[in-house]
Amino acid sequence: MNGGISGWYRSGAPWIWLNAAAVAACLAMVFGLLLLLGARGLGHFWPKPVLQANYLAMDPPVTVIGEIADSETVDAGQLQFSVAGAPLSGDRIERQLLKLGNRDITGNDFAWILPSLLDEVEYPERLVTLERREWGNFYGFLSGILQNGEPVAAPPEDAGALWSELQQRLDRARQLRDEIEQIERSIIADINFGMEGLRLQEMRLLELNRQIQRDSAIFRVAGGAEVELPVADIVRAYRPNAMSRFEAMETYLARLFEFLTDDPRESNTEGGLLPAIYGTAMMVLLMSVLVTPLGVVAAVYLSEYAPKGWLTHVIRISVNNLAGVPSIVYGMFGLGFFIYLAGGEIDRLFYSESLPAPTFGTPGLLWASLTLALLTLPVVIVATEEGLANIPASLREGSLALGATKFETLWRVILPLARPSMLTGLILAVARAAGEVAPLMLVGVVKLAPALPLDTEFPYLHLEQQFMHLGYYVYDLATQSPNVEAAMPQAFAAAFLLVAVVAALNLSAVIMRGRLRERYKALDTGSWS
Amino acid sequence: MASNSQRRFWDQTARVVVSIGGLGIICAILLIFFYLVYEVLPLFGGAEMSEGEFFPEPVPGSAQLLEVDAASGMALRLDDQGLAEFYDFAGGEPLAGESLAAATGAGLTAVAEDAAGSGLFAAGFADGGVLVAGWNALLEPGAGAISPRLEFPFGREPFQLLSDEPVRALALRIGQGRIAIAVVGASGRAVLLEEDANLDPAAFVAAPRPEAASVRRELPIDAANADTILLTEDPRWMFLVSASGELSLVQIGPENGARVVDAVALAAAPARLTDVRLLAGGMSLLAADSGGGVGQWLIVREGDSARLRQVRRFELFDSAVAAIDVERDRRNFVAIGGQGELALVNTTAEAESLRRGPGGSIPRGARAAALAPAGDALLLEDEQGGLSLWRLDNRHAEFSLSALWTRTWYENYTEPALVWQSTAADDAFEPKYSLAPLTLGTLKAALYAMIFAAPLAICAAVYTGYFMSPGLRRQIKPLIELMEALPTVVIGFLAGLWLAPLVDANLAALALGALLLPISVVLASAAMARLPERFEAGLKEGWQLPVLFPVLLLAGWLAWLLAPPVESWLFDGSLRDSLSLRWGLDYVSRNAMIVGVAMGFAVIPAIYSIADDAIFTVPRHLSYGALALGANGWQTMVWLILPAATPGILSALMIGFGRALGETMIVLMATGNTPIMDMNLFEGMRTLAANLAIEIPESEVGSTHYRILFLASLVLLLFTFAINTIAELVRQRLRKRYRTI
Repeated sequence: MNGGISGWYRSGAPWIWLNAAAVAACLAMVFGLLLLLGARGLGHFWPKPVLQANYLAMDPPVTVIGEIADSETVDAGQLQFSVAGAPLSGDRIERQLLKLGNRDITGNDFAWILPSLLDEVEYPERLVTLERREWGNFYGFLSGILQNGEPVAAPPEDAGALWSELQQRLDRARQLRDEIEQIERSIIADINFGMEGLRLQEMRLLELNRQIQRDSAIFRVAGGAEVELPVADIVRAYRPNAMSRFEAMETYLARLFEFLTDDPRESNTEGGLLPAIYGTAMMVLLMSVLVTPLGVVAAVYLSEYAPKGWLTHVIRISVNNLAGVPSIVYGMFGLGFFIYLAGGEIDRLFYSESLPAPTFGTPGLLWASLTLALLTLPVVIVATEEGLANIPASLREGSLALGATKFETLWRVILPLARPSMLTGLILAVARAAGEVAPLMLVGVVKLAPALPLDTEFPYLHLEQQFMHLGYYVYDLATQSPNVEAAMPQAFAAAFLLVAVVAALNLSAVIMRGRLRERYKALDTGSWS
Repeated sequence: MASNSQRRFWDQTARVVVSIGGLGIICAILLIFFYLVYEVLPLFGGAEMSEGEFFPEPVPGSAQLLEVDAASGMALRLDDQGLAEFYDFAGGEPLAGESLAAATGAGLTAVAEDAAGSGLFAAGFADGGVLVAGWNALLEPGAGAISPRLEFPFGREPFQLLSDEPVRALALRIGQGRIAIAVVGASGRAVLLEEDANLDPAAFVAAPRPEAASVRRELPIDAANADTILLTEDPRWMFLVSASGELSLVQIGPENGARVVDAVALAAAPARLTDVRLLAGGMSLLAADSGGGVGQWLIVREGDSARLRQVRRFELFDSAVAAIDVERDRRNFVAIGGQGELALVNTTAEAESLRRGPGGSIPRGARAAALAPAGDALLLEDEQGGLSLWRLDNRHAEFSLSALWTRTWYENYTEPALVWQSTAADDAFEPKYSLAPLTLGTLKAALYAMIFAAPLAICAAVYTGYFMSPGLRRQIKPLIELMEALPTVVIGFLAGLWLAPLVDANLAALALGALLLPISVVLASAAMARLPERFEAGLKEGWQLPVLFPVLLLAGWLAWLLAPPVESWLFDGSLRDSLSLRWGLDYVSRNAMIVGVAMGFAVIPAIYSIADDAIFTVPRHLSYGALALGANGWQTMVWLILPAATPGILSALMIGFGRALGETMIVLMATGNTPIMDMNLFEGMRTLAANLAIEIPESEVGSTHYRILFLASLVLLLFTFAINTIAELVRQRLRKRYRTI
């Protein structure tokens, strides 16, 4: 190979290297994307240090308190209008996005700043981060606790005692909140609950609501002003600068847990996405129930019973190609055919008393599942048929030779062997359905669904209800959110969750398919394993 | 064990059940085709007209004004004596009339309908007074059974525009909190009256007329010839039409100014003008002539001034057009011929939705026609005074295949254009249904995606399919295919909210990187070629990959480092600014380049997977033969494997292209979704698929817009289906050929 430059060129080495670079680039993109999502999505829950500094861009300099949420390097010229104190010209400079929080006090909770203009940067251990039910994060120093408006007897100079006092009161508020939510849920759900019991519950609710309002805490914010916040509005309080690794880990896990198991707050930009996970799962489950038998029957027909002629060939190619039809077209079909035509007809026949308000003639869970079932039907058919076709002919012939009918052969020999390939098809279908958003936007998802589609109220499964979906949650946060900076971390976390689920499903299908091939090969050579 | 007959029974049952079930399911999938066609077909159906309902007795005199309401089946007719009468086609009973002339004591001399479509009309009298009235059926549409009566929202006191001079011509326009009345007197004086008037449609009462808010002014123009006048919105323009067919366009200035800016002849001799109307929207004028044609004249702005242009001409009948009338909101008009001809035309679509030839059921010698405001009924009056009502179903008049694809001259445009703009807040908005910008946007997005994806995917396939050891290939391939599984909403999210700002801030570094990366790879290859041969012999196939990752990283870092100096040296500091300043390219943040990269990312696995299969399955003994004859690996690849695999690679490209055409979420999130006719890499687009996602939730079920969106989805379906089918057939043929080798 070492024949000088021309020899090197003639050997084709540069071309082979470029081709290899294409593979490397593809792999880099896949892993880059996964890493980016993982870092931004999972990193969101780690309690970030909060800095306090003097910002010199203003005259006189102001004290700022906040988390650094993002940083980027840009041309100085671009910043003149967006960042206070930016130089008029010069090379590229770094700017940072500071999350200031305290939206209810200052109005805007994010600001771009120039790190070079920060002075006396420190990370005070006593700085507290509050996550609240409303208005987003809060940063400040704890300076007192009030009970029914009276200061609680804690020595003001003893910050540690004050802090543990607050934690205790937070625990109390949390327990009360749990009880309130439980009662509220039971009042809404239990229609059969006696009037007397209902009245008692409501009295208890009033009492609890009074109790939870008992405590409030006083905080000193960046400007030096003191702010009183009701303890009941605080979801979580921690001092990120004073945390050890272990404590930070604890908070991290708690926030991650909340993300997975709680309801969204602040128009989806905070809190958890349980309803979205739940809605996605319900929709996918319902779709699986619909698509599996249908897909398997169609595949068995095509592979076993259909006459081997040009027509079957055409049908097979058509079904195969329907998998490549844009999903939005299925959405259009679902909207027009299922919702307006079928749903409208159901409403006319069974729900005429509530017309013109539609019951089924409007986007909902059932129609979304049906649409996605149709969308993924080709996937299941193709995978199952491939499985059926790959079963060695010797097994089939052996069964028939022993006197079994075609159906008995199918039922006892072929289908059990093809079961893993059906499962592969189903997994691929589920992965596709979980990631689809475009058709769902037309047939059933909403930004915020107040009720879950499955609950304890008759008839338990509400097929006509609209639902939340992980993919749509990401779309909504990314494009419809008024406060993009606040929405981004949550969108990254949701996107990561979605990708993790879909990628895991796909990889399991790939692995299963690989194992299957080996097994069929072994079957064909006659060595049972 | 069951008996044999039982077993046979089950066998047969299973056969029947599975066959019916399987076929049924397949039919259900194919239903999607038929359903889309079913939704689209009504667009092509044209209009339907029921048989006419004739009023039993002939009516006296000639009509100055005809109005009809489809819901109640009732008509209003104002004759030349100033008598307003109602005709009930459902009951056949004559209803009590009311004389407008009697109210004022002077003879009726001119009548005009409100050009803005409020349902009101104005009557001018011999003493120079103008009375504004309306008919409750039109003022309160959908009120159900009504007893017809006239309403006078501005009171029964006439507006006195002229003193002691008969009104010869009259125009009325109500809207935007104002009433405007223009009159031309017998002497040729032109007067315009504007008043603030907040009309409450439910109560038929306008707020009292405060004197201060009323402006009456003489217009300094000579209107001696004007027999018909028409007012446009605001009112900024006035049309003066003489009986001989001369049209003057008058621009009304803010103060007392008014001047004739253009004058044209509406009918070319020997044809005479027979009727003029203002089309819905008020920006264009329809002129019917005795030659059987109807011309559409549009005000085309030229800077401060404006000109009249005949933008369309419809040659409808062999004989004269006797009368025309227009709909309130849509650009539809009906034309009646003297011999019983009838044509229903939409001007924007340039299409006739209904035509009746001479000698049909339409009475001969019709002299007046009126379309109901919504275009669902037509009232005719023939020369014997016979009134007839014809119900119309003309829902999809705004659709025509030619308007979908060719340049159309819209109102407020200075030239024909291809525009998609389906909705606006205004009822009288002219919808612009051109699929051309959406189709171009779709192709643009798909093309840029392919430019990014095709080289990467095919090069990667060449490497893994031939140069990589099969064992390593089995591990690498699923990883690349994993890209396909990533939800497109996540890719769109990253493209729109992470990549777009990143590219925005680092455009030069990216451009430099695109240049440096291949160069660095070639340099690395040259460097590796210098290594001693025995060193290389110990390496496995596919060893280039681990070497390449650091090389690529290094090149990327170098590009980022070098970008600022290069940018200030070559582009005066900013590549972005240079784009617009030097080359005139607009740059928006969410542009075709972002879509190309993001969607390219999404289609790489589809292309790669099939291309890799095509290359890998080329029978190995072919390449062994070539290698034995002395060819090296790359020569074998280029001269043997690639030609053999070309059909497979083509089919891979087609499948990738098909995917890119229909992708919705990425385009939706990574572009601004503006429907423009432009292939500029640094601007956005709106694709067919994204347009569906944006517009169908707001579209009214069964409307023209709704069905056009279904047509777009049908086009998308057929296109992707055809591409996929061809690709599949190519692949099958290839497989067959390999088997024979």
